[in-house]
Parts: sequence; C-alpha cells; structure tokens
Amino acid sequence: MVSIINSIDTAHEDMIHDAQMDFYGIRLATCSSDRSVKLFDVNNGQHTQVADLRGHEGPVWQVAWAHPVYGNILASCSYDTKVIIWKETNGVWEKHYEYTGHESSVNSVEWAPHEFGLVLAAASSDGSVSILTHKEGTWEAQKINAHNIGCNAVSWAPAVQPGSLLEPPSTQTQTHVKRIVTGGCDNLAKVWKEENGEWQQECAPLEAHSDWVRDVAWAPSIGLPQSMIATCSQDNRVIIWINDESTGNQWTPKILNTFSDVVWNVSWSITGNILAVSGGDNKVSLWKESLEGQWVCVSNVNKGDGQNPPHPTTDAQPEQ
Amino acid sequence: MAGRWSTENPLKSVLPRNASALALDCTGKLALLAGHQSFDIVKLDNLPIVKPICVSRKGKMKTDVTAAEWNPHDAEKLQFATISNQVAEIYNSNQGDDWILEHTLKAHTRNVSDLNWSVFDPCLLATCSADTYTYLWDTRTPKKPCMEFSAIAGAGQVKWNKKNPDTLATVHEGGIRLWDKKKGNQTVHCISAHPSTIYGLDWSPVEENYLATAAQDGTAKIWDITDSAKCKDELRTDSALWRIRYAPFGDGIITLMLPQIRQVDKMLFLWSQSDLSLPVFSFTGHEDNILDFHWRKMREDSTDYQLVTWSRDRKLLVWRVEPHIQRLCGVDTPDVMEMHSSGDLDALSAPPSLSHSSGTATPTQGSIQNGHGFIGESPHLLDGGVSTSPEENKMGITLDQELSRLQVPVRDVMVDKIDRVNRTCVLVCTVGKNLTELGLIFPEMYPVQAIPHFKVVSSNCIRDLITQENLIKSLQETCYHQLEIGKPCIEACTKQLSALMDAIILSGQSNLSVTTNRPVPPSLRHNYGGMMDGNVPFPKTCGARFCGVDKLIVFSRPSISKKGGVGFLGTPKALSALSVSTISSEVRSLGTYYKDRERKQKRTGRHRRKSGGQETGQTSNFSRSFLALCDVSLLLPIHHNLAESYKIIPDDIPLMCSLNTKAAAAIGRSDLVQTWSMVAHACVSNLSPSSDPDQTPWAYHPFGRNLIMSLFEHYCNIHDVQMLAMLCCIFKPHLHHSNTVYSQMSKPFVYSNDSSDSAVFRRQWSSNSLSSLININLADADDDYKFNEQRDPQEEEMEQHHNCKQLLDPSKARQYDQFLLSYAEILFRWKLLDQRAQVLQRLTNPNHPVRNLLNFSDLIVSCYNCRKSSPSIRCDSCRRYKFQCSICHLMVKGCSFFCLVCGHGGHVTHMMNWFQLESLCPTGCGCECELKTKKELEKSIALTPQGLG
Repeated sequence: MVSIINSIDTAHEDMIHDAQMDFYGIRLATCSSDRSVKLFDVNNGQHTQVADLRGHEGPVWQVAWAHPVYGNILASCSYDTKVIIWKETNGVWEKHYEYTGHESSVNSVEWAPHEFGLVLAAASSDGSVSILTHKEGTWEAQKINAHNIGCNAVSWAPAVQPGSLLEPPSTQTQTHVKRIVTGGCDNLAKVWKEENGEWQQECAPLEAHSDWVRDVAWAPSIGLPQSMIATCSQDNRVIIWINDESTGNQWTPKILNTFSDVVWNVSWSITGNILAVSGGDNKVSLWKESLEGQWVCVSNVNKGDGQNPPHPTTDAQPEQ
Repeated sequence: MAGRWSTENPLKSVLPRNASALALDCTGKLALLAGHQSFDIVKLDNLPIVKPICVSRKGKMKTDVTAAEWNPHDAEKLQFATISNQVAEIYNSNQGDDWILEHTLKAHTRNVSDLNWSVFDPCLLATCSADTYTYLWDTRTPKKPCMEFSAIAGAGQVKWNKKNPDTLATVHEGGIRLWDKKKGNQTVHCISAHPSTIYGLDWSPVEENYLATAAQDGTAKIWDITDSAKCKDELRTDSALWRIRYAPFGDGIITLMLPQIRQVDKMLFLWSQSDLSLPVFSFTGHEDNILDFHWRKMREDSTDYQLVTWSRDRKLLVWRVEPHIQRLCGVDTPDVMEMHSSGDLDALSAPPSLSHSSGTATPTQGSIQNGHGFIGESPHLLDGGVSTSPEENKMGITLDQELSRLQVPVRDVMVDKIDRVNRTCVLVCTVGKNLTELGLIFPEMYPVQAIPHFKVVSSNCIRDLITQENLIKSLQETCYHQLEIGKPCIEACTKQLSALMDAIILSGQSNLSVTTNRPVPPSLRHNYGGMMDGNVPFPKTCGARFCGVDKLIVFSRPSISKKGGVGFLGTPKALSALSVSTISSEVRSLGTYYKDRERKQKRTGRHRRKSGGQETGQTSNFSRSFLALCDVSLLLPIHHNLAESYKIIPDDIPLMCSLNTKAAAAIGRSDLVQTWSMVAHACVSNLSPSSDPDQTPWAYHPFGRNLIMSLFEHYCNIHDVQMLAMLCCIFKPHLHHSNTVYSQMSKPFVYSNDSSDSAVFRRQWSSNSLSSLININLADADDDYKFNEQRDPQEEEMEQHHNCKQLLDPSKARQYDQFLLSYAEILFRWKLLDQRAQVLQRLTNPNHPVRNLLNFSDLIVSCYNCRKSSPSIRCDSCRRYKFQCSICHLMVKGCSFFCLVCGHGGHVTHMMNWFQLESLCPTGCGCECELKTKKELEKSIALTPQGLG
C-alpha cells in the first residue's frame, strides 16, 4: 500500500526533528539538531539540495511551508526561542523575518489556511502561542496565554466552518473564523477562536490525556459537517476528537490506540481520513477509519520495507 | 562613650547550643533557635542575658531543622512551625513556658525546603518541597493538606504575598511560579527569573505586585509580577546570594551571601532600591558565617528597627539600624538633630558624609571602625578588594551550606543520614527493587582541596567488588571534575550515581563503560541544560507527515538492533532528561543519548556482541536520521490519473458519463465504473423534469433524489472528495448562462447592482425564505432593493417547483460548493489548472474568498495614468483604477485579462472576443499574447492564481 519513492540522505550532522514538503509536494524542508534547515528539490526519485539555511542558534524543531500564493516562504522554530521566516527571492533563500517574542523554546509552527492571509502560529514552552500576521509589509504579533506550563503544538482549523455547510445558501459573504487547537504540558488540548481581534477559548478544554499533549492536528475539511482533531500524548495514546456541529459545540473523544511508547506526531492525509502516527518507538503507522467508525491500522511504514537504510555501514559495525 | 548610634554595637550573646534556623515572633520578644536536639527560645528583651527555654524535640528522627517560623498573628503568637526532613511540625504553648508538639504535618515525599505562614489567615501555613509539591495546611485540619500546587521542578522557597491573601510565590530552580489560592493547582504566572538556582525570595511589604529574588549567580532582582517580561531592577555581587529580604523602612533591601570559606565578615549588605549599583551598608561583626537574619517586630509608631542575626559560632547579634542608615534608604527621619545633639561628636565625622547619598556611604572613619561592629563598610571591597585565594572564590559554599540547600535533581537518589558533625551522609539509590546505599565521608579539606570518600554500605544489585570499585572510581572522577571547576560534589554525584546504577542494573554485568570525557565535535554541542528545560518537550526524532496530495514523508532514527523493544526504556518527557542523564558535566547530543539507550536495551536483551574496539567518530553516523519519501496514493480514495482523464462537460452529461466510465475502467477501478454507469442512467433525457409545476418531477421518485443522496452519503463516508465533486458537477443545475470562468469571476459585481439578473438573485433568496426569512441580515446590501413580500403565488409555485425538480437538495448548496472547492484545491496541488477551473465553474455561490484573492504579491501593476507602481488595483497616488482596456479604452474595475509579457489587456469579454479571431495583441505591439502568456504561466506556476483571479 505504501511504497518508498526515494530515501534521502539529508547530510544533517544530527538528528532530524521535522520534514515537510511544500504545497505541490516537490520541495522538501528538513530541520535538525545541527541548527540548520535544508531544502531539497525532489523529483522522480532524484533529489538535489537547494539551500542550507543557517540562522538558528539551537536545535530546530519544526518547519512549515506557506501557501504558494504568497511566494515561496518557509517558517522554522527552534530551541533558541526564535521563529524565523525564510523567503525565496530570485532563487535565493534569505531570512525574511525573525521573531524573538518568546522566552523559551518554540516547539511548533504552522501557517493559517491561505484564506486568512499570511498568518503564522507558533507555540512555545513559555506557555504562549504567538499569532504573527503579515500586514502591509510588516509582521504583527499577538500572544495567547495558552497553557500555563508550556505549549507543545498548534494546528489551524480549515477555513471552512462545518456548521455553516448545512445552512441554506445566501448571497452574504461568508466570514471565516480563525480557529486553532493547541496542546500543552497541562495535559490539555484547547480550541481557540478569534473574535473581534481577540483570541478566546471556544469551548471547554479537551481533557482526556493523562500526560503532556505532544502534538495536535486539525483534520482538513472536504466539506463534511463535522470537525476532527487528533491529539497524541506522552501517555502513549492517540485520541480523535469529533465535533458534530449539529449536536452543539461538543468534542467527543475516542481513543484511536494506546501505543507502546510516547506518541510524538499525528498528521492527517488531505482527504482527512488517514492519520499517520509516529513516536518514541521509532515507528510510523497509518490509521484509517472504517465504515463502521472503527480506527484500524492500515499500514506500518517500516523503513526496512523495500529499501535498505541509507547507512548500512552503521548496522554492520559493532557498537561497543 | 562614643556617639549613640555607633556605640550601640550589636548586642552579642552566645548561646549554649548549635542551631540551624532562627525565627522571631510577632511581638518581637521571642527568638527561636532550632537545633539538632532541641529548640531554644530566647527572650530578646533580656539580652544579653541568655536564659533560653529549652524545648526538646520529639521523635527518633532528629535531623537538622531547615527553617522555622512563628505564627505572625497576634492571636496565635505562641505558635511556631518548623520543618525538618519530610515533615513540618507545629509547636504551641499556652503560657509561654511549656511548649508542646501540637501537629505533625506529613505529606511531602522529599525534604521540605521552606515554610511560610499566611499573613492574613492565622490557620494557614504553606510548605514546599523538593518533591515538586507546595502544600497549604489548615492548622485546624492538620491530617492532610487543604490544597496542593504541583510543579515540574522541586520548590526551594515559598512566600505568601504580604498584601493579597490569595497569592503566593514559589521558586523552582531558576524560575518563579505564582499561584492563586482561589484558582487551585494552576500556575497563574511563570517567570524565568535567573539562569541559575534562586535561593532567596521575598515579597515587598509595600507594593502588592513586587517581589525580590536572590540567586546563585550573585544577582538579586526585583520583579513586578504584572509585567514579568523583564525585571524591574537588578543588583550584582561577585558571590552567590543566599537570602534577600525587604527592610521594614524606606526602600531598603537586605541580602545575605552564601557563606564563604574565610570571608565571614562581609556577608550581610543593606541596599537602597533607588540605586542598586552599590550597597549602602554592610553589617560586619560576625566572626563566623551568618546563617540567618530577621527583622525584629517593633512597636507600630517606633522608628527604631532592629536586625537579629545568627551565626554558626552560636552568636546571636541584635543590630539597631540608626536613623541615618534609614535615611540612606530614603526614610525621612526626624531625629537627626537629636542624634547630633545627644552624642559625642568626637567619633561623628561620618554621619554627614553618610547622609548625602547611598553611593558614598563609605569610608566611615577608623575611629568608628575600630572596636565597633556596626560600621559602614566600603562597598568597593566587594569588587575584589578582599584577599581570598582563587579556590575560595570559586568554591562559594561550605559543606554545611551545600547540605542544607541540597536539591537532589534525580528521583531515584535520596540523600539520607546527614551528619554535619562527623561530616558524613549516605546516598540511597533505588532503581526498581534494586537498592544501593553509598556512604560519603567529607574530609576537612572538602570542598576546597579534597573530594569525599566513598564506600558502598549495602547493595542488593552490586555484588562483585570490581563493579563497586568501578562505581566509586567513576564517582571520584566526577568529584575531581567538580573540584576543578569549583563546584560542590554531592549534586553531581547523585546524578552520576543514578546514571551508573541504571547502566549497572540494565546491563547486569560489571564492566562499566561510562566514559566521562569523550570529546564531542563542536557542531554537536548544544545549549541544552537551560533552567527551563523541564518544560521543553523531549525532541522528536521520528515522524511522518502527509504532504502534497499523496505523499508521506517519514523520518526516523537509525537503529542498530533490528529487534527493538527489548528491555524497553520509556522515552523521556522533557528535554531536561538529556542533562540529567548527562555523565559528568558534559552535555550530550541526542545521538549519544540514543546510542547509550540502545546499548542498555541490548544488554537487557542479552544481545551482546563481542566488543570489537572502541567506536570512534561514530557519533555522527549515529546522529544521522533516516528520511524517506513515500507514495500513499493507493491508500487514498482519490487518484491523480483519474483527475487528469475525467472530463467535465456540463452540456452533455451522458457523454461525460461515458467518457468517465472509460477513464475509471482504464485504471481498473470497477467500483467507479459501476457508479458512472448508474449515474449515466439517472441523467438520461427522458427523466429530465418538465417545466410544468403540476407534474411530479423525477427527483421525487424513489430512485430520484434519494438515490443520489445515498451516493453522496457513501462517498462522504469514504472521504472520496474526487467523486463527490464529480457528482456535484453532474447534478448541479445550470445557474449561469455563460461558460467562461472569467464571467464567473465578475458575478459578485453583478449581484449587487444588476437588476437584469434578478431571477438568479431571487431564486437564491427564495430558498432562504422557506426556512429562515427572519434571520436574513442584509449586511451592506443596497437598501433600495426591496424584498418582495407580496409575491405572485404562481411565481412562488414555479420557484418551489424549480427547487423540487433538482436532484440535489438546494439547501445543501454550501456543502456541494465545499466539495468542489476541496477538490479544486487538490487539483491545484496536482497542477491540473484547467480541470481546476472547470470545477470552480460549477460553484453555486462563487462569492468565496478563494477567488477574490486579488493581491498582487508577485505582480506589480503600474498605473496607466501616472506610471507609479504598486501591487494594488487602484493607484495609490491618483486614486484611479489602473487598468485601461486596450479595446474600449475604459477603466477595468472588475476582472481583467492581461498579457504577462507585454502587459496589455482589458475587460475579459473584450479580450476573449478579440483573441477568438486574432493572435496578436490588440494594441498592435506585435506581441503574441495568448501564446506567450501561456508559456509564462507554465514557467511560473505560482503566478497562476493571480492570472486567473
């Protein structure tokens, strides 16, 4: 079901912490403990390094691509408390903006749906989430005190409001509401929405995890009248939260699975029905909701499948 | 007799017994000295005659008292609380002679580090501990804490706000946490105050939101908790600070140094907050380390302030702070004259010079200095005038201090049986069921020139002598290292012991291969180990992300063993795990962390291999992650090939169905072949609705709308947005007459003012009118457009019929639009722009921000009038629209079409008509606009949305 197209030697000097491809799936960005962000063009099994972005003074935790209507723009966040926005102009990647408004490690960045403009959310261990908005050439920052002890992840809701889908059509321009979900060290995930320029919690916090929430992911919308959020936690569990807008603003949790180790990442497919889960056990699994509403594991993406790891020498050597 | 202010040298009294804590009661009459065996209660008024009341301590566990405090409320003035080990005890007396142990407060699981009575509630006591908890106790219900606050790091100090009955602050390593009694176990605020451990904390007695901290790095900071971004003020000294307390007068603040080896005389300084660059006063006179100090409570109206200090040589000193000293802290003292008039002036050359500013509180004359303890000390001595050997400067603390402020950073090691007299302690390490006790003996020269002696007292997991020797050797190495860098050993030893025991227990074998000095390449050295690491999540080293449409990017750690999960060790939560598990003081990289872990796992799993030489330079190999790009298109319901081959022909649905059936068959999707065939049948012409409202339309047939709805339901369930969008394309009624995507774009303009299109308009409104007429909010619609309230019944019937004959429920139009939009987005990602345009054309309500994205982020438009360039469609300077149509020479307000090469263009309809016949630019510039623009678009896909929109 899942086939490896190519395995890529990033030549990072230390562990990779995130890898993301752009909108079209042709350009890859990776970031690592070696403080660098690298960009690759990936095409038909070939890859070439395009840029090696240096500027962070600590391990880089996460990268995010902006929608291409705004140009080729990448955001990265790091342990050094900074968020850097990189931009390509005439084929040259340069630092476009550096945000230093956090007091502790910035753990997660994500761009808002392009309908809202060029807007970035960044979650930090100082407990706050920054919303950076590009307005007339400058960046404006807004801070949300999201989680007291520390905020580990942030994810944007799609621009569509599922509740409005079933309303009869009107000629009125639909106003989209910015919404995000954040996950923190208080074991909670919280849903926030912007109202009159102010960010407020939309509903009661999503409370089901018994340890730090490590990642949150709002499922993309294809036009179904429900919202879905996946959260994963230090407590080894992945929980799917479903909000059927018809039953009011209520998030119902459902445990997808309890894994053998900490779960670090959750990622939705574009159709919003497959979830990729990965964690401390160094394994990746894909989960799909069956027609009966049960989540089943459809694939274990093991790097052993199909292709050898890129460093066979490492395996051969004794490690004493 | 010299001047009164200076001869009142501190009342010096020597007490019979050692004590580790000092406390003064709220009346200012009693001082409590809490010692190892007993408490001595001294009447301050009787000094220097010391006749302490001795209260012997109960219980077997007689350990040093960490801190003691009297109840500050008059009603409970004969009550005091002490903390030692893991318990707090409350003593009480009826008359002031007979003191009994009233309550023992047990809840903490590690040593209690501080306590504080509430200033507002006489029954409320707060205690905090290295076990990370801070408890509130109600003395009426002493069985268990009435409230708890938990943090990540152990708490070192707890202090109630002096103005607000609900707020309290605790310090955790370098951070301050603020709590609210009413809000429960939730940090109200968090300040990362110092880069090193905070030892001292005090709230301002005047300002509700101000507090002061003193830290190991030798700085003290004043904070405004309402604005915690940066500290209000800061003072610096060159040695670690132990305590800080606000003075009860003026803006004075007192700091106490961590005791130094020989420098016992200059520890206690008074500062004025108006200028914290230099202290205004130094309290000198003690011959040994000052352990604690407190302000004595005086009468309300008194301007007399007394400071009581207690030193290790069992001396209790009471200092009177003279008015002129108070004046240095901004107090307007009225009795300066009195002082001058009453005293002998022979020794009073100092006061005038003392009084003018804080910075010059210097060089009080020799006549005062000699023989009197109470002197203004030259502040510049702080900056290195003191002759201490380098070792002493580095080694800021004695064994006593080290033991009393010890916060063991790892959970599985406890420091027990501390004996300060014989200088010994025992480290108890518990890993699972394995218990090891390690005895430490500190030689006299420790911590300056010697390291502790180690001895394994008992262990149920280390049986052979070689392991024991290796263990001790490794610990000794750690200690030597600590000695070199001038830091105390116990904390480092506990970390090292924990790491070693983990290794020993997991390996089950004796050779300890923990190397202490493996060099790490500079590029791998990170700044891990900050004070906030407890909050920073442990780095993710494995992950998977869906990208593009059908790609999955996977990265993971390289692993040596094919079979993982044997003897599995949980993954740590916070980044601090990296520094805690660090061997000696070297900071690890993630690569080495996982390598060590891997090795441990192997050992447990008995997957041992023959050791084949020390690995060299493998760190980089180990740190190199595996990264792969995967194709997941087979898992997804949508398909790239189908998107390419599907045809959308709204005018000939049967043809469209048959073509698409073939397309589905070509890639072997028989399920889609079935659907397309069935759909073709639903669209045949003899099922199409008649215009006569009296005939029941096909939509009402059981195989009509119901059938289509069940198809939609099915594809919703499997999230096949491709098929959903295609179904929408087929069954959506034709709303608009024109077929070009460009005219779609201009529709929003048409809606607002073009009455000829009112049929469309009304139809849309009417569906609204059926359900929620009242809720219609005409946001900024033209007011002259009146809603037709008395409508022709026949017209109404026609409309209803029109809605009924549709196979798609018109009330769900928004959802159908969303299917189309989602699919269009996917087509965009696939770069199938023609298909995308065709799909977008089918939108019912195109008034969607997606297509109104008319921002020229990459295109600069220059005004035809004034030639100024900007990205907007209106000229910034002449406020006119910028485009002029090349054909009709009028301004283009709405949609425009222009050549990306020569820049000419105009109204979409005009240009369309022109290029149907011509291939060259209408301006006659000779540009082959159509061809060249197409090439340009292909070149730069990013420009496309602007080109279309």
